[in-house]
Amino acid sequence: MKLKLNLETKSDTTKILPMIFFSCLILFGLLIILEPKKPTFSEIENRSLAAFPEVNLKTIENREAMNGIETYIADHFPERIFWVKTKTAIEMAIGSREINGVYISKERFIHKMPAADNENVNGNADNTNQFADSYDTRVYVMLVPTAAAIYSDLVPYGAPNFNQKEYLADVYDRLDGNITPVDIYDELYSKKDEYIYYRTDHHWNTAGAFIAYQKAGEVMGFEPLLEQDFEIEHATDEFLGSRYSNVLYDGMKADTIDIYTSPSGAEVTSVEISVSPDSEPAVYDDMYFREWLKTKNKYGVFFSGDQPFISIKSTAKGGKILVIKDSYANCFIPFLTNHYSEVAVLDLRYINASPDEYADINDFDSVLFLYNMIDIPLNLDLGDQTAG
Amino acid sequence: MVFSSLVFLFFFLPITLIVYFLSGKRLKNIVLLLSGLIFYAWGEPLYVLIMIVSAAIDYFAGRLLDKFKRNEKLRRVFLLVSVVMNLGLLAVFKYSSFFIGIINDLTVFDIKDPNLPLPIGISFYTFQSMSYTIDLYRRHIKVQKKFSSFLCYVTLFPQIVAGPIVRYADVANEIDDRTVTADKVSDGIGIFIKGLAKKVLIANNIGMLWTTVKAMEFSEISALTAWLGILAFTFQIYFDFSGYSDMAVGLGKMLGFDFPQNFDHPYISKSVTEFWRRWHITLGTWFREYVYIPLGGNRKGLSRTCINLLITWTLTGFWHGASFNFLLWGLYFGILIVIEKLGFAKILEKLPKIISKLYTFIIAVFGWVLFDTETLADTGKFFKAMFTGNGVFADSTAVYLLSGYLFWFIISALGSTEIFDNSVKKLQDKGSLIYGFTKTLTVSAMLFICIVFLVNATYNPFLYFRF
Repeated sequence: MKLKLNLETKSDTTKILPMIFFSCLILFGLLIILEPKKPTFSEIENRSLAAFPEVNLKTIENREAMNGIETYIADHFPERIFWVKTKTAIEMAIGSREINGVYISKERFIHKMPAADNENVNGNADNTNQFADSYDTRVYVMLVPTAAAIYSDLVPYGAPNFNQKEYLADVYDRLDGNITPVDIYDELYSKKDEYIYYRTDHHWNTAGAFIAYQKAGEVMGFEPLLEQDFEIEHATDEFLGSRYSNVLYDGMKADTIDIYTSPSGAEVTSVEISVSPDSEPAVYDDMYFREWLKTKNKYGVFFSGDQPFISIKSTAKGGKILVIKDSYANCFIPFLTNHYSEVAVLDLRYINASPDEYADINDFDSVLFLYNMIDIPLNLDLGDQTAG
Repeated sequence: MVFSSLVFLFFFLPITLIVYFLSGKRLKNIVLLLSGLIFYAWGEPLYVLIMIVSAAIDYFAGRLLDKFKRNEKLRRVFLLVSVVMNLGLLAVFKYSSFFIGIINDLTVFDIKDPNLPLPIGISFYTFQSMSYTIDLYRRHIKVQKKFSSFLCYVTLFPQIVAGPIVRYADVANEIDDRTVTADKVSDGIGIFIKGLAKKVLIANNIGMLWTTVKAMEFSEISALTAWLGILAFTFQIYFDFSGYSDMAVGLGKMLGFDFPQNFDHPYISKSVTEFWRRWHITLGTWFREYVYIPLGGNRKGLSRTCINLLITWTLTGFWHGASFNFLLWGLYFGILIVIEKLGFAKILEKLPKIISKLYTFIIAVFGWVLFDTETLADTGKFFKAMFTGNGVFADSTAVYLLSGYLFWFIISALGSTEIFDNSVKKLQDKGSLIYGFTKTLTVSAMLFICIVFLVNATYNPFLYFRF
């Protein structure tokens, strides 16, 4: 058997390539192993990083161990963010305008909304109708279009983008007569040239919520405060939101988060945040959690992000309202505290018991469902929760 | 494990190669054998045992074929054992669901489908092992006396899961006696990274277009959308599979092997017959050696030749998967090759090159519709969309797909021709310094971009793993 490693070559350039290749592979391999403290969360991407998988006979048999190791390496690759940003830069350079489910336009990132979930329209409407029949309270539904609809002219030509206006009308149509829609589509659309949606995040901003608040007053019967009644504070102008996390493209101007306060309006007296019905709520005197402005997730300045249940009491004279909502409501709710003595907020995605255990729903004068279009099918599914 | 994974690139490969280079000549096959088993077990932790047992049976069949050199009857029995065992494995794991479905449909029986998962690479390693016992029976090769060396051949990690189908005869000498040189290692790295780039950059990216179109309702898409979709698949499967083969050949070179070439610019062929001499060459060779020629090849008159061709191509199609679509796909090529044999080839030769190339390319594209639509009903709908556009020639969706993927279409189209290879050749003529410098730079840049896409990989399938 003759197996020899013969290092004599025709030219020196032949040797350089193997040297580059092997040192590159070995270097990265070593860096992955040797990196001293491995982060468990990537703040800039706003997601948890994979932990090293459990390795035992079972996980080897079902290949969880092997797949987990591959994900672990990808998540803990040396200078990961550099590689992610480079990929975005390359894709932009070769003409791609859609990265990770986000359209990149000159003015903003737009969350891709390819198709309406028509199958769930009926179910969602039924659930809401059933809810309205079960309780003795006025029910309002406000569905918020996303930037993909309001700025559909910025979505690349021909890219899948369903008609949210039609979809909203369809959902509102299916609601029974005892439910009042708060249709804000046209109001938002007519102000599209103003700064009403974040450029780098999937949420509307406080100015967008203010437009909805005006319409809500009209429909729900309170006298909304006017723009001049508010002091607008630019809490930060360095907000890089969730869609930035998806694409890590640095060519977009960071967002400003505004806080509207009304010296002439009602005063918030307490903010109680409960995780579960049995635990003691944490009590605060402010709806704004400014320490979140120092983190990546600056939108958390409103109520420190999505909470299972919040109860806000104020000096306002009006009745009590329950808001069943997703994160779009977080910057909208402060406006309501000027008109309702108690605003309770329920996020169905985070509660661990039925809504009735958090609050006596019949005790509220009004219930407002406030959802954006991204995950309506998920969130309007009240099924088993209202059954209890 | 797959080549285009981070585990392979940054751990398996450097560790295996370092241990391999450092170990003495007696140990090298053992190192390869162990690395092959780890490589395979990473993807098939249980079925690795099936592979070892089947290799053992082929090994003993080989020893017995050698021992009873003069007893033709016994030799036939030993060969039969090996072939039946290998085809039996395929029948059980790959084709049982298909045949059970047919039996249940046609008869009163109701057999329960065990739904066995397909072991990775089973279509490749069974064919490779069979080449050993058949060639030994034909006295074309010498027996391999060391089990470790035979198992090393079967488990050779570059080719075990997706080919090329390296026949034992191709590497018989190198299994026992090979040299690793810096030149070969350097060449191998170049070929490996070329294959990696074909797979990670081109196939994965253009493949996303086909995934998008495939998810649409075929009876609602425009003609342009359908054509873009199937063209994307046409390029995806070529760059995916030939990229894999390149990586295998490159890795083989680093280890001191010379594997046969598997692809030679199939999309510039001027006839279907030529296409199959350039596409998946090792599979074509296998079927020619072990099916077509034993059937009598072209020695028994024209009509038998045509029948032999049809049988061989239908089986080739069926090798790709247990469904009517694959059977038809094979038969489709068989019929076209027969037509060419009967005289159409002569006409093609007289036509301008551009026409005969276009003809062959379109035939291949139509073939891919059969190949990658799930049911014959879908196939029909898709063809309808290609030709009628369901009433629409081009819609905004098609424009969006085209603009988003234009870059990859251009790269794929150029990469399917000989342009890049010709410019490499021209560069080589300019002297080794310029060539070496440019090559080092290009290959390093490609490696860098591949890492960029691998670290972010969300879409990284290997098409030929299903086979």
